[in-house]
Amino acid sequence: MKASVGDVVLPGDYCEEISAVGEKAKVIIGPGLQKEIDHVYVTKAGILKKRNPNTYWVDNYQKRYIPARGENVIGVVVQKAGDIFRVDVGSSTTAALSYLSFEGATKKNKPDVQIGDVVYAKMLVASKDMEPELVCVDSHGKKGRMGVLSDGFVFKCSLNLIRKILNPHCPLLESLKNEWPFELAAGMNGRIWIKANTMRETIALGNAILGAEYLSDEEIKSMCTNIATILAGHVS
Amino acid sequence: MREVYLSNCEKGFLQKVISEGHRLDGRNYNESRKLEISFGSEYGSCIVSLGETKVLAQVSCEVVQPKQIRPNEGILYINVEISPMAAPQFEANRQTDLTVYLNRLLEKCYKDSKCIDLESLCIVVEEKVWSLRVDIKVLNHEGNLIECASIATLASLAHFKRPDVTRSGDKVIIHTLIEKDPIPTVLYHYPVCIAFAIFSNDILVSDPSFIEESVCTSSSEEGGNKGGILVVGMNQYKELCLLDLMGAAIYNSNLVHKALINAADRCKEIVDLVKKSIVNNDTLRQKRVKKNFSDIITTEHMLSLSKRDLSICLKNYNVDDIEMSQDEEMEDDEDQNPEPSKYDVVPSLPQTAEIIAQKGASSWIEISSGSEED
Repeated sequence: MKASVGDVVLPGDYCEEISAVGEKAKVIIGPGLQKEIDHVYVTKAGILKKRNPNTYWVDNYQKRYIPARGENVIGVVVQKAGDIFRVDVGSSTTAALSYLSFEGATKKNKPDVQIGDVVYAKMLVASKDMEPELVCVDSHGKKGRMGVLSDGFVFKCSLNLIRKILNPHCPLLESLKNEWPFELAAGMNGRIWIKANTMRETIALGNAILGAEYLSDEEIKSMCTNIATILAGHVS
Repeated sequence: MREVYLSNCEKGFLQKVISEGHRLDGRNYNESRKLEISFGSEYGSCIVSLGETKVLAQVSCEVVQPKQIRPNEGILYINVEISPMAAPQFEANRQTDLTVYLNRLLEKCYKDSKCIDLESLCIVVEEKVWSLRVDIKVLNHEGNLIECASIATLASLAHFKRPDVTRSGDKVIIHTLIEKDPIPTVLYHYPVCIAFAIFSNDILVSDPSFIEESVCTSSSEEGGNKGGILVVGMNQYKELCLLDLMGAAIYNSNLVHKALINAADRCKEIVDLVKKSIVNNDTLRQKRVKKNFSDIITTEHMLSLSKRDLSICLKNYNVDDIEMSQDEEMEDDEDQNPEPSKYDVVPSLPQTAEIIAQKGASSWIEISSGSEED
């Protein structure tokens, strides 16, 4: 079936608009779209979106992560193999993280990473034929905010929720930051690491994040105040 | 089956939460998730959901030759299947330790406890008996599969009706459902498996979620494993049918006792619910109301079949509260927004947003506000 931007699309639908634009200018097709000889076909169920100039993608509900270059992810170290760590990021295979790709790491000065640690890292290589590769430093050799995350709690959620809370227009973090202090790292692979002063605050934070998935902006704001009152003990 | 990797963060945090008397999803220690039983259009098919854990059970029957040693008894066969649909770590069409474990426990609970009158399934001694086959398919794995699967087995067996049979001389006639009313399975008693997670050998947690199950069976950082999963099979008369322990040995004798008392109450509840829903379903069938699995698809939510409960939840959190308080709250929110916050969002890197505590007063905040410490 023919589809246009903003429609709910299903796998097998095609979009003539993209092909038409593609003849004149360069078009970028993102996840959920695939170019065949005659048309651009939809391969995922979701909403067809467009961003100027000429970038198209399908926004779908998904939980399974497909590695993409340059994304920040949260993974669990599962194995130490020679000079690399294998990190489970929720993709089909584990990702490799070299021990040299930490800030200030040398052959003699190895980073202190144990099996079961949670790392916040950037996807450096994400090819469909190769093992994904992670780094914990930026291009200047600085760790930035990446590296091993200690304490706190890690939970999984859908990829859409991650995109939603990281959206600059999302009021969730804006509202929560007024209520109580916390630390948070969101990986694009659908994992969120949270840490607050007390256990109850950490749970409240996780509750707020997971609860925000299907709420509108106004509802998120009232939910945050609601959770804060529960946390403060006003509601018994 | 791929391994499920559990980080030290999760382990440590969950142990701490449990030891402080809370649970991640806001339940009490002996509180179970919401149990729902729904029946399909055919006899003996049902979907049981325990929170987000979902199991489909289907009973089918065929006429086979009986076993040599039991010539006058029917055969009960239980088959558990876990597909990648349940959780990504499972592979299709492959037996895992978990399927074997579930199969074994269910066979123990339903075959060895003799809850089914197998002799009534006999048609011709040494020649023809009914063979009942229970197919358990795990639709979603969110912890406590054994309890969910056993309720599904029980409900589907109790709901199942086999075709009537008449014998005339050597001939055996199997009647269709239209010709003669089908015969229900005879159950002497209703056993159910109840699972408990044991933490640090003295805390008993009923209806463990997936993360609680994996934390209590994994070894702690000091090396020793002090937790485990205790499965108690019990019927509505508080008779014990099965006891199974996975993980560390129990040296606290009160623990098993406590588990049995909890299980007895829970079994009663479950069996009552199973019986009630079967009676409801039967009366609806007699009124010729169409009942099938489409009834459990709700349209009120985006994801029709799942996610009504949050996996991380405060004790008093209630989703419905939000809509109620919305109108009053909104005005307040608008007043709050322009206020400078104590903690500021600093987008440090693309795709990240982190909140850090502001140290010292910013230039545009009046110093007299005094809330900038920390």
